[in-house]
Amino acid sequence: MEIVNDDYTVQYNSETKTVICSGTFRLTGSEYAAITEILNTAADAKPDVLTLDLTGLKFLNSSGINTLSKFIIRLRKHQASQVNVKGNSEFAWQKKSLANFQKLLPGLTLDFD
Amino acid sequence: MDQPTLEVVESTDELQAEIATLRQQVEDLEQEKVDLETLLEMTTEHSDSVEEELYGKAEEAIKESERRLRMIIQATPVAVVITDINTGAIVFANAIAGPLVGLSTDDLVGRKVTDFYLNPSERARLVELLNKHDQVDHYEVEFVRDDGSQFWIDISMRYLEFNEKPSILAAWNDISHLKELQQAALRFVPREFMSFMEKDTLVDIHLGDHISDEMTVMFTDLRSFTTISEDMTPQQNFNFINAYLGRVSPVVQKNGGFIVKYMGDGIMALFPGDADDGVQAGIEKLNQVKNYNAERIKVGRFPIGVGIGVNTGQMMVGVVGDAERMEADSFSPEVTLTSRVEGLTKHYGVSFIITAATKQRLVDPTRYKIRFLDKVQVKGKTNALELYEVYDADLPQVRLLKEETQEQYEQAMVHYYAKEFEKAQEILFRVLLKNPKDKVAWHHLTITTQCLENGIEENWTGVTVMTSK
Repeated sequence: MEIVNDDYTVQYNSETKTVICSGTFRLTGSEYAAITEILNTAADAKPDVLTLDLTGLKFLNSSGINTLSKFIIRLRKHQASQVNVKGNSEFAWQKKSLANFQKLLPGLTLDFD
Repeated sequence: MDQPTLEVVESTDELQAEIATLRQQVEDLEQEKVDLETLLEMTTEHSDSVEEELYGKAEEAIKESERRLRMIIQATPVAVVITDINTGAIVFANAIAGPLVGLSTDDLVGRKVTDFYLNPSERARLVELLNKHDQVDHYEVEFVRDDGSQFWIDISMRYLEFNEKPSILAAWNDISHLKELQQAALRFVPREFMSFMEKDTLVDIHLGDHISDEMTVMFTDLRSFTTISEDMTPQQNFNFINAYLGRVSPVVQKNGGFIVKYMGDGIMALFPGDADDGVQAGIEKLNQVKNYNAERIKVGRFPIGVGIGVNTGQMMVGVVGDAERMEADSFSPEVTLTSRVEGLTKHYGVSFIITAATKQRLVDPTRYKIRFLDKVQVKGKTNALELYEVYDADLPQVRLLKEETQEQYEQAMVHYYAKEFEKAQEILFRVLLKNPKDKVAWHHLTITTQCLENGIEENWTGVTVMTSK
């Protein structure tokens, strides 16, 4: 499953159990529905390990962080997956915001480069 | 009350399960509450950090663009100055700007830009133009350096936000050299000729450009220049001719005319306005010659004489030559005729002759001392031409004698054309008794006497036929 356009890409690979988000997320709340659908599919597959690769995500607006947070909550509820988030320290916002994912899912591992 | 207090008694197990479910629900709700709080906190924090990042980037971008602007301005090979639009204070200048006005660039910053306008109100006018058109391109402005010396610049202006203040970015281009060239070129092609041809710059002048209109033309010639120049070295010749032309030429411009061309010692001038301009200029020219002669006599030099011919009619003025070498010229049968008329001053021994066409167009002929000269038929013409002498510039005693005898003299001429030669002769004698040096009267007396002695032909009209040029 994937969404690819000029601004951003969202890919879910069930074999590698990886979700990749890259580009610039500047959508409004309701526009995130298609992305949420992919994320829910990934969470509901309840893989033993799930990698969220954000190394190519340059920009994320507030609705975007909301969407990703709800994804993390869904994973926590399933209690099925070891979640590993890959970040990129080049994008300053990631350092602060991604660390907060651990508040939602204490077992989540965070990996910068 | 006949209703039983307890109808269903649930088993303890069921109750326990119910309690567990409710507890779970409460726990879920609490978790959800924590999640929502965390979400809100996260979203807010995220917004703050993203905002901070964007703001920092924007600030950096502004600084970077300002740094680039300064760099570009410094590298620009033209003086660039940024001024506060309201106060006119110079807030930035590149390395070329300072020396242009005789200051270091550091000293220039902080000064008012109007200090360097020769006419400070001109800046307000340019700012007004900038407001109106959003840009000001290539305005020529006279500037003054810090030491007071003046020069010309070409100025262009644009709006600019600089240090968060509305400012003007101006490019100053020193065009003094260009102006000097223009001034030099105007010595070859007079400004009056340009404006007459309705041209702004020399570049607009093309071969074949012309204007045809009724104008007054004037020819001026130095008497016996060939003889005079024989005794002078080439340098003396040039000095003499330029001293003479330098004295007589300005009166043409002063009286609304312009010099079309110099022909050796001769001058061809045009007066597009009233015929009076040509007559007035001729009189003033002769007065200039009188003054020049007084100087010459004082230093032991011989006085010079000039002849002036003025005529009014249809003329063509334009540009002749070839693509590489052009010159202003004027021609028409009327122009040729004027040259002949000027030549006749020698024949009659007068300084200044005008044609009837000019006399008729004078706004007020009584302002001038004008008397009838002769009816002539010049070479190449079939019609007789009436000529008049203008004697305003004669020496006072000569002028007075001509004035006193004018009525008699003109009466004699009436008799002459009526073939009453004896009466004409008698009156001319009386004129000459009063003014024995009147060459024109002598001339007519000779002719009248010849008519009396030799008789006249049947078709005699009294018109003098000129066979030579």
